Amino acid sequence: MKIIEHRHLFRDQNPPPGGPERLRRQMASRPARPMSLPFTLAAVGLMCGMAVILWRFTAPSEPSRLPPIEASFAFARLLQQEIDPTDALDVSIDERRIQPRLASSTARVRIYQLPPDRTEG
Amino acid sequence: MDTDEWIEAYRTLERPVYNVVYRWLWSAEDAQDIVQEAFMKAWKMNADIRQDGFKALIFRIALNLVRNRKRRQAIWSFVTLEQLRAPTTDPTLSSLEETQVRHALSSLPEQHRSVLLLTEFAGLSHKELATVLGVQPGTIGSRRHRALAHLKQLLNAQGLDYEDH
Repeated sequence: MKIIEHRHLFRDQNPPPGGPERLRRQMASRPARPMSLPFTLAAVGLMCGMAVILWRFTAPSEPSRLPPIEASFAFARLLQQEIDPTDALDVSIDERRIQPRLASSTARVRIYQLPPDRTEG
Repeated sequence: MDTDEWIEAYRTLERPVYNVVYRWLWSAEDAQDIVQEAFMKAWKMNADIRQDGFKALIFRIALNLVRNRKRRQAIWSFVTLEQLRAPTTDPTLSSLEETQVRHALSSLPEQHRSVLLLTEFAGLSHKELATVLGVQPGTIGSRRHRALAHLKQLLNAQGLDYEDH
């Protein structure tokens, strides 16, 4: 039986050459180290804050989401009456006329108040 | 810490880490990749190379990387070309014997293999070894003893006898 000595099992070997140079190149290829956790959290928080501010000033307001003139005409069709777009702010609602058009008695109709500049022309 | 200090730390630790990792992967190229990756990871973590725990940290990262690579290898390949060639690293061993030795080491359970290789090559204190292996310092000695007994069994099963020192 062949005897395997301890030194056979654990013979120290040389690593391939060029390791330190390779590591130096890898380190050099990353100009800046990644940010630490507190820095990362602060950056994420700042970006979220900016996104909220941007959204607040650019998001459309509720009434202007629908084309006002078109909405007026759609409403006019619902009421089965002619509406002059310039008078769209003074639309009076006739419940008796709306009621038969609705799916149920509990259905809700949303009425938008149209800004005057959008109703003109 | 500047790059030169990191390179110096690499020069000191490259050989022991390489020797441990090599006996997991049996590929010089892969073993060097792991050593490099371990250092890059520590560098990215802003690890303090002057701290006492740095050496243990590098071995711990390296062994985790080895585990991940072994898992990938288990999926994609069973035997590498290098393993098939089984080059002899010890002139007193024939190619067959070297393959048998490798097979015996590779057949050891992970915790036995780790403790044997680390106690042999890493040059870590028992306290540092315990950190790397995630065990109590007092268990290192007994675990190594059990690992060697297990290795001897595996070598005997292949018709080889093991002699300690």
